[in-house]
Amino acid sequence: MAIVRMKRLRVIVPSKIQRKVLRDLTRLGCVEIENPVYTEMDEDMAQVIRPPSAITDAARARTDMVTALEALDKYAPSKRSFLTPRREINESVLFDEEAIEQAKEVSARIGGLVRQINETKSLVGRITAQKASLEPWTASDIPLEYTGGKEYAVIFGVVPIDEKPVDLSAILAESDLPAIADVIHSDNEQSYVVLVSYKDAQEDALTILKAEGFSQTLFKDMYGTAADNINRLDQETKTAEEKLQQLEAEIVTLAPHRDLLEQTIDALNVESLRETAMSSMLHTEKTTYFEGWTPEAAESAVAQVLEKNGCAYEFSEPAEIEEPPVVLKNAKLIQPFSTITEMYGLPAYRSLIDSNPIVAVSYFIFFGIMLSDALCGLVVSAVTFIILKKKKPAGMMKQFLTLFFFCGLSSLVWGALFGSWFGNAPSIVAMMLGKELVVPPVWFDPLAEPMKILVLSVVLGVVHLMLGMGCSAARQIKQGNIKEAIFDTGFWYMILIGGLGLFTGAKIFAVIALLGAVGVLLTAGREKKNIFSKLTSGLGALYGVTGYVSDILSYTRLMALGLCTGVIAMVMNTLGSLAGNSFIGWILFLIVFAVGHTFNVAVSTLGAFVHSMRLEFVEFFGKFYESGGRPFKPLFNQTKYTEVIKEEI
Amino acid sequence: MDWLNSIFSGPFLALFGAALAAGFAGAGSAKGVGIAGEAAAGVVTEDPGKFGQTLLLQALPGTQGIYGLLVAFLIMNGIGLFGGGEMTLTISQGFQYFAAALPIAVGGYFSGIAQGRASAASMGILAKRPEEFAKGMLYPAMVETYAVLALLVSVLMLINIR
Repeated sequence: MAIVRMKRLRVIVPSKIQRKVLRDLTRLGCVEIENPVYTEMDEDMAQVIRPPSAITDAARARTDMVTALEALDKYAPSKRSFLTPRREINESVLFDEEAIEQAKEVSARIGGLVRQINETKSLVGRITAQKASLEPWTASDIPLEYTGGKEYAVIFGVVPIDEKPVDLSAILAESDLPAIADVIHSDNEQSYVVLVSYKDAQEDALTILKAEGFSQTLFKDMYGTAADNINRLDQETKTAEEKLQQLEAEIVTLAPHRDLLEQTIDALNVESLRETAMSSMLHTEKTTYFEGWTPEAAESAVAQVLEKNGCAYEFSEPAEIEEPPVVLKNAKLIQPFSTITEMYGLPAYRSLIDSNPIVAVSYFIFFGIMLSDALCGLVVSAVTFIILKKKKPAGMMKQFLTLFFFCGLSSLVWGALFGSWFGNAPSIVAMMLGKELVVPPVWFDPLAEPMKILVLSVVLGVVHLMLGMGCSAARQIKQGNIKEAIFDTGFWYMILIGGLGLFTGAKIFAVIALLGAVGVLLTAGREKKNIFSKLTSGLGALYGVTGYVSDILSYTRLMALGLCTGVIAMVMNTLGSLAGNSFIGWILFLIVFAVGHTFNVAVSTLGAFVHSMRLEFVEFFGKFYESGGRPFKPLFNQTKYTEVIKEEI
Repeated sequence: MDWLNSIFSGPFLALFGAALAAGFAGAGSAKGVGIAGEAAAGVVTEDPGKFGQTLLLQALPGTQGIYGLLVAFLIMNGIGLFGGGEMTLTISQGFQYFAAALPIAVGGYFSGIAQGRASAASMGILAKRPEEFAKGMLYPAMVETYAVLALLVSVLMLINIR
């Protein structure tokens, strides 16, 4: 059975030991805790307290630590290679209180340093802006704080320039006021002006200038000339930059704590998951109650833990109205392919059909035909194999890599069948060496006999479609509707087999197809009351034959993508061999070969991955699949940086 | 009227077909990949970690160009361009090759653009619901069906030209 059977779990624990029980269940990793359904009106529930769900301490500490780690990665990048596996760590070390406290200190220190760095950076920004605003005034040697002497006043200001600068001195001269306006500097937008006037003439001079758009510039807290101030600001920038370097260097000295931070992020992650679970529990003064799900197979292990801790618990079958979470469990070879199903959406818990074996086999075959090159396949398998062995990934990543590993092997086989080894690379290499070599295909060469691969694609497609329809029929039979299965699937089988059989020329197939069509015509409207609407429904259903035609034609992508890989490879080989058998020729060949085939492997693998998936999702699942399952999310030691080793307690 | 004779010659018509197939299908892919790339850049500004996935989505409308290349290659191979010898082709055969190039030229151009738009829209799924990324890859793949069908017709025509 592919969908794991679930049991409803109800537990009451003494509040004192709730954390310990939760820890033990996390180690087991097979209990999902869920919000219990209850009505507030229920009298027995009146004294129950549900804690408010809030961001937990652990989650907050974890966020801080992630920020600290990011800072560390920025200023002191890790030297680990992509292939470094996750560090193995014992449970007791991971959850060691002291280590967690120490990590919190480190992250607080890094956080402080990052804050200082940001402050310093914004200071530098401010200084730069200030400098820019002083730049135009450098030509004036009047101290900026100077406002004039006893008799006369000095005012700094700017006048906007419309098209061309206004001659301020001329305007002032016209007015006969004892004042002069000295334009120190002009840029595209405004003129920088110093207005010097007798004190009693200042008001009038200002009024005249304001009519031209003059506005006063104040230099707050600045003493000495603009040039002096710029020098001072330069000095300040230098100091700030030195400080920045110092701060960054200090962060770098904390780099040795990276491992500690990473493991603590993991520990806090698990802790915050537990705290979230705790927030969906109900509490009284002395006890805690929670509900959840556990796979049937894990029932005894869970019971043992609960028994040992002295909890009251019960397991029960899921009620009709409940929708248990779904987890897929398959044979080891098939398991990686269940990720394909999961990507579409998990099946509903009570769906009766397990299509994973069919998905696994068909995906394996389709991917192989679409990539259809022995060496491409070998590269894919080798790369995934190395990553799997060296990096030892877990979870989804592992499933995916295993999936690609298998699919690479499939292309290796299909490539050999079609005689494609990076296209015609062996022949090209031999040709450059002045020899002749043809690697004969084990079966046939799709480029030479495209009709053959077209027929192969269509036949595989029909088989795949019929398996999909078979799944639908199997479900109806399981529900006891054998007649429905014959009406809805059996007749269509006859139409499909008959229709395709026509290509062989035998008359009998026409009869089969016709009988099937009559069957559909008569039975598709069986739910309708009067004979007229029965027949119209029948006709409508028969029109569905166009759907089958388009489904079948969709499988020609097997041929299209398969041919593509081969042709790109051939183009690359041809390009590479252009310079012939010489030193330069071989260099060119190697470069084109390496770059070209890397490109080909990448593009063709992506195509094969997506299009095989499409065939499963649209053509195959479209015939029967019931999605809508909710993934099973048990509490477990969910870690990113470390591989937790269980210890016996 | 020498030039008219060279236009209505078998090899020219066949090569013209090859040029259309590679050129238009390639242009469609270029537009499609470009559209997807614009959306991808937006996603990556928000979250640089999604670079790899955006690249996958962006690559999807690229296949039309490859199909065009495939047809062009088959034509060039079919008329013996690579052999180095004389290309002996009747005008009628030339027109047949030309016709065979049209499905992928036209289908590739328009489906490439449409697929690019679907890819760009799927970038939204990647940005907001990254866990549903696989579904986002499927929408562009639906468009590709019609490029595949066009390619199929082109290839079937090509291999049956006598």
